[in-house]
Amino acid sequence: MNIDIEDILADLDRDTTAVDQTLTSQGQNDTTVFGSDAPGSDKAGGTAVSPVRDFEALMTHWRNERLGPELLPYPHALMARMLRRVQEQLEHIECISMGYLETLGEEDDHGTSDGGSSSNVLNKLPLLCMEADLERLKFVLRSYVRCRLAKVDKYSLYLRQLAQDNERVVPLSDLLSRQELEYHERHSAILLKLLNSTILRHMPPELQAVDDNEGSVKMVEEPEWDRFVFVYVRGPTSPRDPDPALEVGPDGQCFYNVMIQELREEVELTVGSIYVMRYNVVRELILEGKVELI
Amino acid sequence: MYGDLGSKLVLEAKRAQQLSQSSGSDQLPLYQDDLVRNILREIAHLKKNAEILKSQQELENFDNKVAKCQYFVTLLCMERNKRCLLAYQKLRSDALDAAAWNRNGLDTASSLSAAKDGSSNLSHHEQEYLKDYVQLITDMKSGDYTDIDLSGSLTPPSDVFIDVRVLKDAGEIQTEYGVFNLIKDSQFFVRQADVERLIQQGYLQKL
Repeated sequence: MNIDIEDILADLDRDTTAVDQTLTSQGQNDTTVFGSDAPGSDKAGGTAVSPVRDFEALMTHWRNERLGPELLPYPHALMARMLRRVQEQLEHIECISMGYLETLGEEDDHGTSDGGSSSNVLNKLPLLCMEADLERLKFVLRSYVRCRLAKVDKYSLYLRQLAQDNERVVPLSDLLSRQELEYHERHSAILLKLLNSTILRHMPPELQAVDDNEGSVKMVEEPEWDRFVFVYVRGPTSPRDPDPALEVGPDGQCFYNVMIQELREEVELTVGSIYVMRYNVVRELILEGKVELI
Repeated sequence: MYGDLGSKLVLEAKRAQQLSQSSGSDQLPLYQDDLVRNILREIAHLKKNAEILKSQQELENFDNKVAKCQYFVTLLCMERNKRCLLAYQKLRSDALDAAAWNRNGLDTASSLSAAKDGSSNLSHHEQEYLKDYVQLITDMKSGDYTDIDLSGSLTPPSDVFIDVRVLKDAGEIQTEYGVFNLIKDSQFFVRQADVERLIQQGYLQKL
């Protein structure tokens, strides 16, 4: 006798929340913390772009970058949006604090010092929150960029080797941002200049290369592909569209199957659980965003 | 033997690394000019040996196993010396990079010699390198990442307002956000973002 009407309720819900969303988003446009998006960019790539979701994505990128052994591809669109929002919010805060100073001055002119101080207290809180929030976002961005630069330094010879390699899947301009590319070029140039002038000049010509892999020791440091990392299995990003790689076990739990090459052993990564794994085993899943490093 | 000077140099490098790790300061010890020069002399000697061996081989026109082995061992010795020298130099340049990020990227980046008091400990090639690298950092900061101050603090901001105590008398200092009168041993209750740089420069102490 039980009739499942979940889908009908959901349909109704969607209608009502649609109205609500327009109302709230209009209200938020003035005070939203990361600055509001331009209306055109809302439908980029079919999925809605919202500051909150972008921030979550940034946090995931940040964590993966800091914990993974490899330099991950640079999220160009995300970073461009984030940097633009930081700039907009900086200007916004400046405008508010300017306007705030003006009104305070007017009130002082009128001689209502009591009213001035009380409105002062009332006005300060949102401004304070915005500034603290902006500081936090700036910290995350800074830490992310610095972490990437450290990796660029560490793997500079390896990256150079990748750039010369023609049969690559990801070109170097996707892997690095424009600024990181410039940093990579210039830093390796000045480092090479230092090493050349102090040491390599005195070497016999067959030993003058810094990226010599034929000698007794390889001089190009590659990422540690089989380092152990902690991973959290997040599952597909949206619950609606089914993931072909996802399999359902006998007890109704979803899992991914991955193969550990050197042991020839299959492992089930159940959604919502935490594993310690070699990086190269879960690399594909990390790049697709189905698994996070923690 | 031929590699001994190199291992001495690497030991020196290891000691410098441990020193900077344990004390936490980015003061580099003196550049081992004599040692490096001796190793380079050894390499020149080996290079001459290798050339003589090669010419002998061509003269006698039969490459016997002994000559081959001699040449190979000479090459290996040179390679080992090269590794030691490069490891030493790379360690020093990494320390210089860290110093450039930590200290020279601040507001008064221009006074390079004042910020790096161990400047005389560097060889002149390294000084050149440091100058180039500081320039590179400055250029990086002025690009897309202007708004997020790249050389800023890497500890996450937790409080909006903090108590600071003035450690060094500095007179009146103009920051981007206003004027402070820094008198020794006075205390301020200020926004953290305003004084971050003064803390990094060592004028203020966070309480």
